[in-house]
Amino acid sequence: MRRALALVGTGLLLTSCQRPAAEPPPSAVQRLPSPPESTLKDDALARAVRRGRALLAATRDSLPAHVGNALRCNSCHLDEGTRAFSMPYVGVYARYPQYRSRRAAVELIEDRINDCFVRSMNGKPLDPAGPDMRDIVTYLAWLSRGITVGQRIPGQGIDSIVPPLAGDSARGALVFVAHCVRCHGAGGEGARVPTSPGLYAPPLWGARSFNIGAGMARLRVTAAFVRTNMPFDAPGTLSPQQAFDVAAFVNAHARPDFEGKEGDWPRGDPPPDVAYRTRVARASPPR
Amino acid sequence: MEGDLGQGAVAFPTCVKYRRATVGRPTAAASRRSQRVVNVPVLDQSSVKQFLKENRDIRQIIEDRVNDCFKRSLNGRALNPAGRDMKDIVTYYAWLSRGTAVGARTKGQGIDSIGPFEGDKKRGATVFATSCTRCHGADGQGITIRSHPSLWAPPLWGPRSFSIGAGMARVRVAAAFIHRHMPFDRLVAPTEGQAFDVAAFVTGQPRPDFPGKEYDWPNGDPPPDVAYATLKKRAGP
Repeated sequence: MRRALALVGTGLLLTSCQRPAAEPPPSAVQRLPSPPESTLKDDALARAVRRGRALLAATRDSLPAHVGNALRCNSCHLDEGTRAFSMPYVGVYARYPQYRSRRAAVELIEDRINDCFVRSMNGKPLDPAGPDMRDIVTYLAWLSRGITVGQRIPGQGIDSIVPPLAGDSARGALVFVAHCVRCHGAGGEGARVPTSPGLYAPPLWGARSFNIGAGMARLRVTAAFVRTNMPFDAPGTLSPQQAFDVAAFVNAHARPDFEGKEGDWPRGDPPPDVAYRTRVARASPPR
Repeated sequence: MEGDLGQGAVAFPTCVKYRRATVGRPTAAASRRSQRVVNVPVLDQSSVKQFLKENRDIRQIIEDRVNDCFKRSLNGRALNPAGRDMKDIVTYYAWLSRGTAVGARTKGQGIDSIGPFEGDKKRGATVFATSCTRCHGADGQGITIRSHPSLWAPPLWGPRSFSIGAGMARVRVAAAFIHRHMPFDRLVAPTEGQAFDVAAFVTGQPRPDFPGKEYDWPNGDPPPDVAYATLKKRAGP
């Protein structure tokens, strides 16, 4: 069965086109369709799906030995991994195994999940054959039901801002004060979201945030994520320039190191916005 | 982040314990009385471990399925689920499945069940002698297939064959496989009854044990053709 975006906001389908800076913001965030709850019977598979879903929502409480900061999986994968262009979980199961240039290897979905544990959650990898990993994979498989194996669905990953802009961290500081501190705190330390008491805005830098090896530590990734999803209570209201500025401000702060980061992109093809040097240098100068 | 616990409680339904805590700031006037003592739910990690132990082996990911074959059908040892070999096997499967939908059952998957009939080993031995020995050998130990020199007919019993824990050691599975695919050259097409007869003959031969087989079907729901006793008996008749 083919899936379509549940809700198509104006402009968001033009992702591959150049977006002029003055374009009006997207009207609403989009959610990717996921299987109805009624497909979960009271059987072993459904229990695994529910447990996997809970582990991604309560990662730190459930797996304290594997999370080294104040983030959980759903801190970045918004709406329990169903929000378009918020690195949604929906469809990911159909896209693995996959070659990934950061490790220059074919990765299983378990490898991808553990990448998040060791980088974004600055913690320790799960046992790839353990019950926690199995339940997470089972949940991801359930979320991808009906999606064609190998196919990329609209809304996956992030909505990259094309062309990339230069970010100004001084201007970004002003954006941060105006739009971000009400949830993330003046020190970026994270706090409860006032409009949604059950939610928690994660720390954006410092010892309790994601480490330098996380995708979110890359300027372009952060800017695209911010542009689509932030501010949480008014997503899409920042301009691409504001998104790049505030991303530059956030990424200018100190965060945990990622040991072995210099071994990333061993073929010498790091994206231009990686915030650290890799051992195998880029063969040709970045675009 | 205590707020996460609501979801943690879903992940580990029986593992929530409560700890008493005081909330509120004592004022000068009524120092301790302005404080409330509440029960704060916390996840008890030893209960979490127990929960995981009890809920083990209820779900399989594809690596588990691949390793089942290594342990049972190939009578060997499991691959490292995170190793290069497993990754490449899983990658091949994913490539083969390109274009099929996640969760959908493709036509032709599994086996084409037949019967069930009561197989007769004696009749099966006759069928075996006429239709199977030319590839599998009179002793069932496998030889190179004459019409396909690069192929090798596997041993059907004995120490070099699949273990008792393999799906192929079940008479219904073997019969369905034989009915559809054997003899390999399809010079004859066995009837369903003949397939059950020869399956009964083959599965009735000695083969490697599968240690721990008695723990299979821990919910007490083994199929009727499993060739060994399991500890958890079927509830019904």
